[in-house]
Amino acid sequence: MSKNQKIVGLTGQPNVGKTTLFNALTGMSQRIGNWPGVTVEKKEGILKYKDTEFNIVDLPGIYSLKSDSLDQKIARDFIIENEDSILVDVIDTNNINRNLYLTLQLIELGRSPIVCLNFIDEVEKHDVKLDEKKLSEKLGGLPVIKTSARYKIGIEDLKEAIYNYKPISCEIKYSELLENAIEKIVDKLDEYLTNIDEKFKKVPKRYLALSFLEGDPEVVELFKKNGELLSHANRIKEEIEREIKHDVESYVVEQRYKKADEILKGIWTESIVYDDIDKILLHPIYGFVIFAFIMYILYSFVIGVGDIFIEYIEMFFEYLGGYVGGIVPEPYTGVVVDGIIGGVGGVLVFFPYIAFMMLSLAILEDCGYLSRVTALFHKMMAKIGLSGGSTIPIMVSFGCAVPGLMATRSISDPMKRLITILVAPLAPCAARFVVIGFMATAFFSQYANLFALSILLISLSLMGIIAYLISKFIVKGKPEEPIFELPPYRLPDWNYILKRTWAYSKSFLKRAGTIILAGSILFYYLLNYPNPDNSYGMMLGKMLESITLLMGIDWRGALALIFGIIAKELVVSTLEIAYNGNIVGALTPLKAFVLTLVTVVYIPCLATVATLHYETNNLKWTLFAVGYNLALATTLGIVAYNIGRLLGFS
Amino acid sequence: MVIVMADSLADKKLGTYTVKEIKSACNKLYNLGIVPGARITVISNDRGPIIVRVGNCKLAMGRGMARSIIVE
Repeated sequence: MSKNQKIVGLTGQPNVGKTTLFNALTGMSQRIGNWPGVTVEKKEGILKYKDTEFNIVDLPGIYSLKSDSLDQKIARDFIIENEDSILVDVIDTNNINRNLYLTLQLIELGRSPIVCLNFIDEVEKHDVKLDEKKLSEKLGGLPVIKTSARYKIGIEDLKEAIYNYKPISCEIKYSELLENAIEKIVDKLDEYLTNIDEKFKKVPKRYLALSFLEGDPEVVELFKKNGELLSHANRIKEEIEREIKHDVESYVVEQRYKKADEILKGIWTESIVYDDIDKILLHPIYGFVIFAFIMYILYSFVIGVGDIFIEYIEMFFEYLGGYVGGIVPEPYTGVVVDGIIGGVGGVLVFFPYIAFMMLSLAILEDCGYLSRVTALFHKMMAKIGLSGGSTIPIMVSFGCAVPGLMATRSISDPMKRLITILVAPLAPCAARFVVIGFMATAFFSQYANLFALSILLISLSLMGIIAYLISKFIVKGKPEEPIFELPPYRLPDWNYILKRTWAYSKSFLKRAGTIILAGSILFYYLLNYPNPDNSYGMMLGKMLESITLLMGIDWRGALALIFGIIAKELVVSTLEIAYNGNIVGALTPLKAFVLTLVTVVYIPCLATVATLHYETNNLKWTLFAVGYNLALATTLGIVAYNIGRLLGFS
Repeated sequence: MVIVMADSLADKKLGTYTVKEIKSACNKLYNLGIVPGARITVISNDRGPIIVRVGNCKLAMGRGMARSIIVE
C-alpha cells in the first residue's frame, strides 16, 4: 500500500445499495477475498480521485454494531482498528429513521462518517423533500451527500466529500437517565479497568459504558475480566432498571430510535406506499403457483437460449479438433485432440447454461423477487431443518453446485448454512442432467420423462431426509424465528447484474481451464497406457468391480464413476469410450437406471468438493460430505439393483 | 415460552398500530425498528406469513414471532 493511500470503509445496513455504490466508486479495480479467518466475503477496490488514491473496503451489511453476529463483529473490528479511515455510512433514504440507528452508533464509537443518502431518486419521486443541510446540522456537522448509485446521481459529490474529508468531533446525547448512568460508569472506568484488550484501548470510554448497558457480548466479557468494574456497572444497571421498570438493553435501543426520530423531526416526512402484490406472492397456494410459473419460464429461457449457443460451441470444438489434429505432430494428436480438446470442450459446452442460469437469478434477485422466495419457502424448509434462505442456494445448485454453495453466504444462521452446504450438492446439477438426459434417450425412449422425473424425485427426497437427519442428530441448532425484509421491487440494474453473472460464471471457466483440463489429460493416459487393451484405467476399474458388481455395474461403469469425480458429465464420455460407442447393447435398462442414480448421488465433482472445503473452511465437514454421499450412493445402488431384479428386470 | 395474548400482532386485522411491548428479547426485531413506541402497519394477515410495514420497510414474519409483539 502506498503512503498516501487512504482507507475508506463503506458501511450500512443490508439492502441499502451499498454494492452498487461500491461498483460506481471503484469501477473495474476490484479484489474479492475473505476477511481473515472467516468465509465472509471482503471486497476492496481502488478509487483514484485528483491526486489521491483511496482503497475502498466494502464492509458487510449490518443493522448495528453490536458484536452478536459475525458480520457485525467484522465491521466493528475494522472500524475500531482503522481509526484513521474515512467512513461512508450508506443509508436507504426510504428507511432513513431505521438507518440512522447505525449512524448514531458510529458517532458513539467516536467516528464522524460521511452520510450518504442513497436511493434519493425513489424518495424524490414520491415528492418527499429532505433538507440535507438541516440534517447535517442536527448530526453535529457531518457531511451529508445525496446519491442514487443506480442512476449515477451524486457520485462525483461523494468522491469530492471523500477527498475533502476531515474528521470532526460530534456527540449525541440521549435521555438524562441514560447519560447519568453512562457518566457514573465512565467515572470509575480509569480506576477499575486494568485488564483491557488492545482493541478496546482505542474506543471512547462512553462507548464502553453504553455497550455494557446494551449487553454487547464482547464488552460484557471485558467487564467480567475486571471484577470491581463489573459489580459497579451492574449496580448502576439495576438502578436504572428499577426506574424504567424493564430491561436496560431494550431501553438503549429505544433511546437510539427516539433520537433518530428527533433528528428527523421537521426535515423528513414519512410517505407510506401501499401495494398488495406480496399478499399474493407469499400466499401458501398462489405463491407457489407463481413460483412454479417463474421457474418454468426461467428454465425454458436458460435451456432454450443456451441450446443455441451450445450448438455453436460444439461446432467450434469440432472444427478446432480437426484443425489442431492436422498441425500437431503425430504422437501427440491423441492426447491433444481426444484428451484436451474433447475433454475440456465437452465441459465448456455447458457454459451457456451456467451463464444464463446465473444471469436469470441475478435478475430475479435484483428485482426483489428472491427475498419473497425466501419468505415463501421458510415454513417448508424449516420442517426439514433448513431455512428460507436455503431455497436459493438449492435452486442454484440445480444449475451448478459451485455457485450454489457460494450463495449460502447469505444465510445468517451458521448452522443452517452448514446443513445447506452439506445437502445442496444432492440437487442434480446441469452436468448430472446430461447423464440423466443421455440415459433417458438411450434406454427409456418412450418413458424418458418418467425416468428423469423419478431420478429427480429420488434425489430431492434424499436431500430432504438427509437435511432432516443432519439437523436432528449432527448439527443441532435452535429453530429460527423467521422475519424477512422485503425490499421494494426495483427495475434491474444491468451493470450490477452483468458483473455478478460474470463473477459467478468465471469460476466455472476457471475450473474448465484447470481441474478439468488436468483431468482430461489424466483420463486419456489412464485409458490408453500402457496400451488401450490393458490400461491402468481398466485395472483401477477392476479393483472396484467387486463392490460395483453388487449393483450390476462392471469395471467399465466403475471406471466411468471414477472419472465422474472430476466432472460428472465425464461419466457419459467414459462409458462411450469404454464400451466402444455401444452402451445400449452393453447395459440393460435396470443397470442404466442404477448407474444414473449412483452418478447423481455419489461424491460431488471435484470443483464442488473444493468449494465445499472453501466455504466450510473445515476439512472434517468436507470429508463428511464426501463420505456420506459415497455411502448413500453405494447403499442406494445395491438396494435399487436388487429390488429391480426381484421385480423381474435384468 | 410465548403466551398467546388477545392483543398481539398475530390477531390484528389490517391497519396501523403502536407497539406496546415485545415479549421475546429479540435483536432481530430491534434491528428492523420494531421497538416499543414504533408504528406498525399490518398489510396482510391471511394465510402464510404476516406482512407488515414499519416505516417504509416491508417485512414478512411467522406467526410465532407476531405473537410476541404486543400492540394497541
